[in-house]
Amino acid sequence: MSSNVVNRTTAIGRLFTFKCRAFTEILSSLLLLQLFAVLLSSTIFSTVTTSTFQEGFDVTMDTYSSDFVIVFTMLWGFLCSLNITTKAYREDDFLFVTNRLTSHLSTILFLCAVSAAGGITAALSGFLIRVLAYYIHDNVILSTAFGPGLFLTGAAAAAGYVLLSTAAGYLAGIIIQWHRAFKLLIPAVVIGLMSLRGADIAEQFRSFLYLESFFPMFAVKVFGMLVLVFGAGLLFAKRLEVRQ
Amino acid sequence: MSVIQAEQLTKTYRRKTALDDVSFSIPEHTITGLIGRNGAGKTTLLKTAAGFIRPSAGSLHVDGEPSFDNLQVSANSIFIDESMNWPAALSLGELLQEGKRFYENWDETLPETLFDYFGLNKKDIHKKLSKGKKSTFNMIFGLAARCPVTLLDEPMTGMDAAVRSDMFRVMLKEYIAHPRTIILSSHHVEEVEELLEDVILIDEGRIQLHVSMDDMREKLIGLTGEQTLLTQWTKRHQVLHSASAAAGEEYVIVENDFSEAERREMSQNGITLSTVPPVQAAVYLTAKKERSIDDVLERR
Repeated sequence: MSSNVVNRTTAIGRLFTFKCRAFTEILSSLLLLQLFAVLLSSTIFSTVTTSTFQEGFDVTMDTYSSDFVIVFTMLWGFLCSLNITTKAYREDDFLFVTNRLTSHLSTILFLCAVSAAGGITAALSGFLIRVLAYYIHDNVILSTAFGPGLFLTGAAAAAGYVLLSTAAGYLAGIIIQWHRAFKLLIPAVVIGLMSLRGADIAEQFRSFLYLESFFPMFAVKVFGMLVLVFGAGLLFAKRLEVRQ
Repeated sequence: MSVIQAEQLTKTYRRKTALDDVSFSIPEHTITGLIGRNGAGKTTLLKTAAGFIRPSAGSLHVDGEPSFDNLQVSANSIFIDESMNWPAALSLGELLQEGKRFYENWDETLPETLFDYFGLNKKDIHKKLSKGKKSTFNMIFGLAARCPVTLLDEPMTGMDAAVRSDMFRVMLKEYIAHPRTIILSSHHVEEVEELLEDVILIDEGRIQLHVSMDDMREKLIGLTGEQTLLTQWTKRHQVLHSASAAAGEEYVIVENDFSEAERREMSQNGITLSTVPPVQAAVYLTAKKERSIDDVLERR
């Protein structure tokens, strides 16, 4: 047999390129969703703070930001990666040259790429939201100075958040492949935990990630969590058949 | 040299055993037919060879490497079946481009020449094709990949008879021009008969028979003659099939272990000997006496 020898890196590269071409609907859905979120953010979804002064007048301040877009993008990331683990997507690789490891690694690489795209566009949407808010509302616009450095950290942080939620979706998808009962169990456990200890968990998350003001430290924390979650996913996937 | 080698291969799912202690070896550059009834374990066997399924016990090696989850085996083999799930975002032409990127021996000219003939358009989306055309594309893809190991699981599903026979010709020509090891499972064995060199007969997860097609033709014999005469001759045989023939005579199928002399004697006694086509032979060899459909219907 004239053996064709393929090394892992080549296989991953080819699979990654294939995914970028084949999963285009994932990117178009991102664009639509973010556009929707921008429209909401620049109109109704603003944070309103009202300060009342002793002299009898109030100052109402609406804050327009891309926070909402980032949350939307995170949700999108979660659903997309959950979707990628379904039969329709995960078996695509096996039409071509792959094994399980290369398939998973190329998917993770793909998720990194879309999360980066989602993070950058979410950060950029901040400008669009401000511009739209300027035209829609005839109020005085106050904006802080905004350098490229801050923009870059903002985009990177947003991408980190999105990537974390894709990792969560990916792990959930793999666990569901173990047994379909997890389709119900996972949401049940999540909702249960949220209603019982929701405030605690949110506070933990807030102090661990959200309030981390030193960017390198934030990056290290995100990276650590990603390794944990994706690693768990790979470990769980090892017990599954390659293709049923 | 054997390219695919299975040793005591067993695959059990929670409730049932799909493959039961299967051992076989398939030599390089042969076309082997995999024959068996529905649920006999054909697909499980092919998917294990493709590396998709983890053996529960035993082993399956492709070119000396354990097949499960093996990148090298994947690079050298292709598995074609009717449930190939092509991404909807890519057209047939784009899928061929992807094939070219992944498979080292990819043949660009084959799809070029065949697309028109089989009524496929490069701009078509696989999901929107008819069942027969889906299979046609899958088959073209599988042959163009020119993988040393080509595994075809019911590749002709949905094709009409004309396309099937054309496709078999394509396969044969491709095989002659670029020899490879092909395993083909098909319900239309009568149509592939002349294509196959060897045949594996599988039933209830076990390999009943792994012989050359010529031996398969010789495996069973049909005897037509007077009933009493036939009973005499077939005393030591299990009658696999019997039916009444014209003029009060009977037709039985038994295993062909008669010597040359015995056959001559039978002919002299007025028994007509006939060959049993391989497909029919396969059906009789895997048929369960107690489960004959006629029996079931009569017992109702």
